[in-house]
Amino acid sequence: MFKVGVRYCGGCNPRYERDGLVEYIKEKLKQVDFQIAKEGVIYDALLVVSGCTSMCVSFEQFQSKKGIVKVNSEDDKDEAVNSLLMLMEG
Amino acid sequence: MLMTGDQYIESLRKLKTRVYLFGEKIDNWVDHPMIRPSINCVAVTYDLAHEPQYQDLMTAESELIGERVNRFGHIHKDTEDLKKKVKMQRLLGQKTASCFQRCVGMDAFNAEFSTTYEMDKKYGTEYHKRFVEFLKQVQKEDWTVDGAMTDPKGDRGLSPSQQRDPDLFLRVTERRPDGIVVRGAKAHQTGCINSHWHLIMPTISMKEEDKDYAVSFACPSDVEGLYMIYGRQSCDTRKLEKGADIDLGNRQFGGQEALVVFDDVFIPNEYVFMDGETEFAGVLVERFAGYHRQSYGGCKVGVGDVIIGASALIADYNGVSKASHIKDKLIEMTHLNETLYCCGLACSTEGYPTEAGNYQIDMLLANVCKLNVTRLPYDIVHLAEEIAGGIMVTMPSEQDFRSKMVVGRSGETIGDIVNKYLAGSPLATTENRMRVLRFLENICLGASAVGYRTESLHGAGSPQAQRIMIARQGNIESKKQLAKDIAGIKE
Repeated sequence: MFKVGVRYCGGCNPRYERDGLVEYIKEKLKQVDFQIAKEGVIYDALLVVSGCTSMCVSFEQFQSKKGIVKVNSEDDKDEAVNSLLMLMEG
Repeated sequence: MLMTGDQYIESLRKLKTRVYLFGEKIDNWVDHPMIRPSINCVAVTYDLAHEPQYQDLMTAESELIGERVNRFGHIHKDTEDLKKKVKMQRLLGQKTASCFQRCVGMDAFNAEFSTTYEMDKKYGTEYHKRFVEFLKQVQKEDWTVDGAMTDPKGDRGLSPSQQRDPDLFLRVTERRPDGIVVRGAKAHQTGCINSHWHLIMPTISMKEEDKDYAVSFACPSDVEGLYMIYGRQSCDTRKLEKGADIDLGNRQFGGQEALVVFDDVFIPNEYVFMDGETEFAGVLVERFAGYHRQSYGGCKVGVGDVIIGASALIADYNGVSKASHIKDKLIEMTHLNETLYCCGLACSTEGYPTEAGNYQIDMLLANVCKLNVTRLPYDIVHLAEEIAGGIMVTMPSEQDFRSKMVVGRSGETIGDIVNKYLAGSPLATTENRMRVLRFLENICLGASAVGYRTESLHGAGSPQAQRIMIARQGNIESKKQLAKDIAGIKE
């Protein structure tokens, strides 16, 4: 199963509902195993969820084989789904 | 080890901290209804460190012990850390709508880290080494530490050594081969009872004759000779009312201040970080104050977020949310609140490395930040009160709302009457309308106003202290030259 590590920003002033966005992506990609990202685990892809455009979240400590998908607004959700699908296919 | 909130609360029970309230010793202070909300508040700083949605702000990698630690025990290693500190504080303000108390320790750690380094460099002392060892303990044990600066100060026109009572500033009364004995007090100490340890700093710049007052050290909360007298807050005894809930406004969380008394307390050398180096007293004060002035650009903003939310809610419940002046007021509140956040982030972004390697905020911008904090929260609560309406302060109590006493001609109870006449928009029940109004009352002029209003004014230094710092760094002469150049003045 394709494994995606989810990394949240700290959430000081999110401009949208971060959990809601992740739930949306999970709903669209039921074939994917989404997990909260942990150091030392190698994921197929990393989903970095930032609450605003500053993207201050640290994610360099996490590893992924195929790539990283970043979101920082509600508008990114469908693009994130497509990007993850492309990583799965690639 | 990162403690959970429950583990933190249990760790407090193991301490033999001496606490006095209303003239009596409180043995089980952890469960005391007036104290517990402030403990719950600190517990949130532990719980959120375990939540994936908040870990990026709540934790940091310690270079001292090579482990992930709670950010409240962290030494800022770059401007990113300075910014994340402010963001974490905003987050916690949002979650508690109160002062969560743990910032003073973090600010003291960072001020001590660089100041002790510079003292050792100049005098060949070993304060920095001792301090780092202490900090490693703090990080490993995930302690809450009270960063204590403010002395009672007596006659403000006199220096420490000139005071009628020499104990009005905390001082060294005896020096022994293995340590020092200290006497005095620290006033309105935020979260001191909820702390495992205290980190004491001098309160002002000092001269040679004040040598015994230039002292910094750490000690456990339950060290022999130390006790605390709890500070009153507006409306505090509401917390003692049986079944109190709605009338408290914020039942779960609150702030805390107390007078911490040092009645000849022995401090072993390993926990002494300054003893007589008067020229560094001012440096330590300025650095701590600078960090703490930055902090207010985060924590008060988070509380402001909740006040804005409550104001929007009561507008909904009053049925006025579509009125243009209400929308304008909410925009103005947001503008004021985000202005404070801008200041907190700006002084962090412009931070710089100290000789010791940790990062210090930009002093001018941190003082501008805090001076704004002395003003804008008052404007925010003014607007909140305006939106809420007078019922916020004239509303009957929860006991009346719940009363079954029959008073009406048709058998209506007091509760029925309160329910009938306090109804607002069909969007809300009377109870929910009362809850929001009491929340606003609490934060605007009740127990939580201590944290949001007066603490904003005087905490981390009163406005005049910021003006002095701004005057020192404002560089008016260069601005005059700019004007001369543009205006064609040659002199």
